Amino acid sequence: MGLRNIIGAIAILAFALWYGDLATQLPKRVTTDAPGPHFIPYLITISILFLAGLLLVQGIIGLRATSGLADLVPQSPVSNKSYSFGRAAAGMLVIALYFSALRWFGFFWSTPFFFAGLMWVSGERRPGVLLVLAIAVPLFLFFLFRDLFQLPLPKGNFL
Amino acid sequence: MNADLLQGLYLALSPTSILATALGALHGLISGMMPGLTTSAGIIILFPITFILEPTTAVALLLGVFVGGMTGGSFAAILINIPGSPSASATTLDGFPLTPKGEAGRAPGISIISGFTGGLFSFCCLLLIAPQLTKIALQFQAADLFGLVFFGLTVISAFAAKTLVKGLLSTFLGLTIITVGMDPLVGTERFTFGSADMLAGIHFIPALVGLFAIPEIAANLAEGNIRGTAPRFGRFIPSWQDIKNIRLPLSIGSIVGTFIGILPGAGGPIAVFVSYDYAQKTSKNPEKFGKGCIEGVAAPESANSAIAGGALVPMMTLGIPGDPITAILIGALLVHGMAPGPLLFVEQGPFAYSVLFSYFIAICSMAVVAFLGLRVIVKLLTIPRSLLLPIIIALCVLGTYALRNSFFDIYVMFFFGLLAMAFKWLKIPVVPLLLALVLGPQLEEHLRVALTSSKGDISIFYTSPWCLFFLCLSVVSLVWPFLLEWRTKSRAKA
Repeated sequence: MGLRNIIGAIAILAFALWYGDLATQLPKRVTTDAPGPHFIPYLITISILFLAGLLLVQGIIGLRATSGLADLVPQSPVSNKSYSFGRAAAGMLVIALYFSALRWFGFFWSTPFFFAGLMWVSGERRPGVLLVLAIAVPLFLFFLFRDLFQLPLPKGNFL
Repeated sequence: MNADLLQGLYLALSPTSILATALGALHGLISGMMPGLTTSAGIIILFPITFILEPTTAVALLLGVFVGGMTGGSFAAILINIPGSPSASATTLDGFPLTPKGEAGRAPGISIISGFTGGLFSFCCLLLIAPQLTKIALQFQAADLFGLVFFGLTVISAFAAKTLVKGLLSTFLGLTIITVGMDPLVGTERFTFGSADMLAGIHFIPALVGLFAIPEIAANLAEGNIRGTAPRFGRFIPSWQDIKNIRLPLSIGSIVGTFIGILPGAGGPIAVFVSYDYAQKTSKNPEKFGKGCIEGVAAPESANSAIAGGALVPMMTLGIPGDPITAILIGALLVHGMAPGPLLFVEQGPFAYSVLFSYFIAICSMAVVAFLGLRVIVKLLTIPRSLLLPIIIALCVLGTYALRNSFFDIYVMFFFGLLAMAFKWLKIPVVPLLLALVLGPQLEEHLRVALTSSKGDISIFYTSPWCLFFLCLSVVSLVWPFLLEWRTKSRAKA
């Protein structure tokens, strides 16, 4: 865990410094003894800087027990041979694209493509199954939520 | 008899509430049992539906999922050796070895009976303790409430992580998020970067959905398109002899589960392993444990179910969530304009009691639905993950968007999902961050109100007995992990 702790500590320290800098720009109330809007952010910044510093020290101490850069690679379950980080990354990319597409094309038009994409990434290769489920399930969800539950669904800017 | 209590019972016994609880229990059993889904994910999926329901019905539905999910997680542990939740881990020790012996039906039957008994015991404790605790909590001033919330956060930071530093870091990072938006007391903008979306702050529901759903999806994607098999089993109604044999483990599990459940942050896994350990120590045949004995299923299962009732005590009376699921329930109540805490019993008495009685109905519904539907429910294990994952994401989108009709919330959800994955890689727990999102606004408000009322004099925090008591408990909870480690090392040396 040594390397991970060091990377995490540096990232958190950088964040705390940025957050603290923003906190100094908050207005301070001097008219009463009451703490102003900057009070809690200051406390949080000091606490995070202290704790991230401790994590950095822990990381440096723990570095000796780490077997090189292998520490940075997530461990896959030994029993599962089909474990793939590439598939997880591809899936996350599909999800990110879907979230971006929602703003432009809305739920109705973007969800079938998302279903097909994510099902394909997660291992479904039969074209018939992909086509039928990618159309039928989003349609079912669309009408269920719009007509039965009467909830607002994301509408695209293009539509 | 208390009029609020009777009205609460009446509300909980309405047909819609009972139906919602039963459907919730069914959904919970499925969510808890299916690998790739969890009880938290099960509740998140149902979130959008709760927006259109009456508060009583919405909470009844979610309580059904909560209780059903606990038992569903154990079914997966017994039938396919994959605990559906961390608190079902102990059930695999004796539950799964019964399956190859051809007794796959007996263990789920024992699990249902144990879950029902544990839940019933914790409900009785909830009904007895909650009103009394509420009376005490109503006397709290701002400084006392600050002490209480501070204690809730420190105890969760101490128990949720392997190292205290990481638990506290998670909490403070969560507190940075609650400072975004309008200042709660003076209305100044903080960290909004001129964005209108940020002005209202980061709503904790999209954050919660992202924290729990996105990492689960990523983990499932990495594992591939696994399709489970539905196990076959025979009779699952336990025999009278079985019931007699599990009396003591049931009692142990129910008591341990309820009281550990009341402690914020102590969590299910501790309760189930403690009760398993006690059951083994008090058993006439301790050598049978770990090889497939029903006492080893009954003790952790009754504890697993009793935790839910225990966790509802601090949630309902003090507004302190004991675990992620009660944090989600608080979110559901807040969406409906009901803030859990002592004032809920004063201002919305019938509703507060209806939550308690809905928990009881959820336990009964879980037992009935599980006994009647187990053979059908296990067939759902064959649904491929490739279909399940896009459905979960689509439901997360619908729930998040429906909250405020905002795309910003969908991006917040995704951001928190990525943050949770980074936390997972760094082995930083997300639960303290989540609870900081829930409790953070109260912490800031009570701290600043207390300091304002004392004109900046910090002696208010140690001259108030309740505040001093909670602050001392906080110190104990922070020191406790070090004491445990020191004791373990001393014993190892000896």
